[in-house]
Amino acid sequence: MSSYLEVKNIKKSYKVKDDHLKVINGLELKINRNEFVTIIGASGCGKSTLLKLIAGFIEPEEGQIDINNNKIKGASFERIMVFQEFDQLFPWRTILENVCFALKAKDLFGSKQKRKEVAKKYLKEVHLNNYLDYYPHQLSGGMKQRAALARSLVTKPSILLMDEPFGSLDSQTRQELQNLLLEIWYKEKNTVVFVTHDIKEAVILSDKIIVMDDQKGQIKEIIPNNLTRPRRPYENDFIELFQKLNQLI
Amino acid sequence: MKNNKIIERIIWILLLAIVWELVVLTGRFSTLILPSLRSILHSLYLSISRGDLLAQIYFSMSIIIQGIIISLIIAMVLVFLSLFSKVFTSLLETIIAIAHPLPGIALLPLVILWMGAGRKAILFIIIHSVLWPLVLNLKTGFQSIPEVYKLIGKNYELNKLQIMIKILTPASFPYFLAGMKIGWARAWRALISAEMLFGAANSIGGLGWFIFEKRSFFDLPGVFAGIIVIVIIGILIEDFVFQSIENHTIKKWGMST
Amino acid sequence: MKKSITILLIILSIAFLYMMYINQKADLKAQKISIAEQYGLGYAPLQIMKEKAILEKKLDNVEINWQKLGNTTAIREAIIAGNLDIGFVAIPPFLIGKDKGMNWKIMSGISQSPLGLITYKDSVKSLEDLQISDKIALPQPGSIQHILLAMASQKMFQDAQKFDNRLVTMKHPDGMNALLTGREITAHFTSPPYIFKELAQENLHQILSGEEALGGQFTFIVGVCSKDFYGKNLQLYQIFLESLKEAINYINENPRDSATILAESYNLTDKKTYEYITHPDMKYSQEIKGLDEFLIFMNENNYISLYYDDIGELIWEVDFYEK
Repeated sequence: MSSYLEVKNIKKSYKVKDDHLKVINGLELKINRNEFVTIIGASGCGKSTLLKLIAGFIEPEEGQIDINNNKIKGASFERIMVFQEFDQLFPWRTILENVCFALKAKDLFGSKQKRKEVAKKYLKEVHLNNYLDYYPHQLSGGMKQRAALARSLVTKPSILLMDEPFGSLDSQTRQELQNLLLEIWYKEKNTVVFVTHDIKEAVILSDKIIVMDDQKGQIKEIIPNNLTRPRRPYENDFIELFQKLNQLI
Repeated sequence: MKNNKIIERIIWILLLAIVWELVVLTGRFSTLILPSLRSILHSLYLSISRGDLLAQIYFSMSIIIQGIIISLIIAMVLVFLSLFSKVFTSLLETIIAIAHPLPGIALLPLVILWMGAGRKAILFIIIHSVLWPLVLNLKTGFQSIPEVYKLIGKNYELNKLQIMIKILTPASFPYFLAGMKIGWARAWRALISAEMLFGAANSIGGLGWFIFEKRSFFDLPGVFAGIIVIVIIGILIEDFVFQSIENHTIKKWGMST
Repeated sequence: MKKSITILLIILSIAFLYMMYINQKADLKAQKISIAEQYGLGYAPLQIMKEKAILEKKLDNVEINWQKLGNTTAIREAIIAGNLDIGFVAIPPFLIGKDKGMNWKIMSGISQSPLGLITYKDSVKSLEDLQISDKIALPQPGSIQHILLAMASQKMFQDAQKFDNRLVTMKHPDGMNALLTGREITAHFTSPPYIFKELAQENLHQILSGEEALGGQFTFIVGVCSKDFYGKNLQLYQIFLESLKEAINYINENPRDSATILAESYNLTDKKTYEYITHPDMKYSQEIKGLDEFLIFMNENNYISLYYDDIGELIWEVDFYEK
């Protein structure tokens, strides 16, 4: 079976903090349709850069990325990114308008009225139906990320790219959002590539965990995660997998 | 502005007016130096009812609005150009460094020489006063836009123009507004000074000319009346127009700089 | 509490200003005399007075302070502020100040002078030929040039204000430059030496003279002083007037020497200066002519509401008055 998303022999140099130059060097990766993949690794290992390459925000120096055997070119509605930053929502638009922005950009549903209805439906799914007319600055961090998730999902991208979206949240909110994300994923069946530095999060969420090597700029190991859902951190399998990953990083 | 703040301000103004009138009543000062409020208000009433003053306010405001609009267009063009060219940015920065601290009135002798003492000259000085703070603020505004906004724009396949209109413009709005406030304040001062120096280059002239003319005819209540009008317009624009724009935009959006 | 403190502060600062005002007055009582003139040949007797130290010779222990101010408005304001004892202005600005309540009167005339409206446009032969777009430069509204223009306009069009919306205020040198470059303004209402310089240009010509406008001769510059000075320093007043007389006589009796003295301060050649000060229309005398014409016209056309029962309300020394 051929893979849905294929990263082929990618080379890209990138800067980490203090302008230190690092490289992704001949990275190969295959992801299947509807798969939930997490990428973990030490900070500066290139996982965010890899995500940006897949999003098409930046171009690789060598190699290419294929979706359904077609080389990607630039950013696209098909690959929507959810960022870690809380200000990924536009502060001058209400929550509803922020979600409508995505629909309008893709020019879906013809009328404004219809777009609003669809946006409301998605906001209901992320439990923000009571906050439609709020401006982002009036919401908590968790609510902002939920709204961002709704905006990303509303255009039904085939691939959802998530760059530590819950990284700045407190642990309780993070847990809530992880559950919410899984809930939605069951329904929407997007292919998800989720970058995190939190091993526990990776084990809870994904079907496949990709461990990046921060020295070689390549993938160190790909670990399938077949634990039955819902996964609970106190179960033995969970702890075993967690420890295995912990040693790898 | 909040209601109680307005009331507070009115109370203060009334108090000052009473002190003023009391000082006049003591008769210590000649009314040639300190006219009574009654005579000032009477003069104000006369000037308004004759229609001259309104026409002069209209003249001043129309020239200032024209100046601001032209500055806005030029500022946009300059800033957009600087987004695309590094060479142009460095040239622009040098020009700003030279021109920004230069008071418009200092340019007056040159301006008169180049374009005469007419409406054009006043317009030029207003544009000079507004343009540079506006360019500076717009530039800072564009530079301080979070990277993530631009990535989102790309992600939703917007073209450069759409990104400019839908994302960069509203995102830099707080800076734009700050620039407009500085620009207005500078333009307003420049306008009045220029008009007082030029005289009525155009038909009835503006507010500055109103004051100059009253001074020439030694009509001190008239001079004060002109000053009162200038104060009132200043308060209206700064406290009401800008304040309400702020309340309906950046305050509502939580975007104060 | 806060409010009462602020009010106190306001009252204190007002009291402070008042003290400063009182102090200034006290200074004036000391032996000091401040005189202000403006630039132009109409003020020539004052130059002579200064250069030949006529006043200084008569006054020991009195500090004499000569000032040259830019316009009559500044002179009026300086007198009110108590910085100035004697000022030299044209009749209309004097009347405006008097009308607004300034307690001042004319001491003496010093000069009559040609005044004229000069243009570069060949097509313009009189006021009638001026179009709406033609601007006229003059020193300021309410100046003698402005009132003369209004008088002519009243005579010709029964509308004194006809040209008021076409005025550009310019100092004489700026007005002359603007006229010479032929931009911006069409005509310039001016006085000597500028009127002489402009008329010497081939392409410039006069379309209205001051005499035509008023319908007779008039005094261009008068000396004025406030009641404060007149009442409290009558002796000083008399000495000043004598000196002025001496200076005027000197010019009239020794035009050649005067020209030499004056040439430097007007930045002209001796020859030109002589030519100008002996021009038939350039007269130095203490007479006051044209006062009534200005007063009546300005009164009738609402520039002032002033009128008088006795000419002594306007002039300290009625001897100089010529009806």
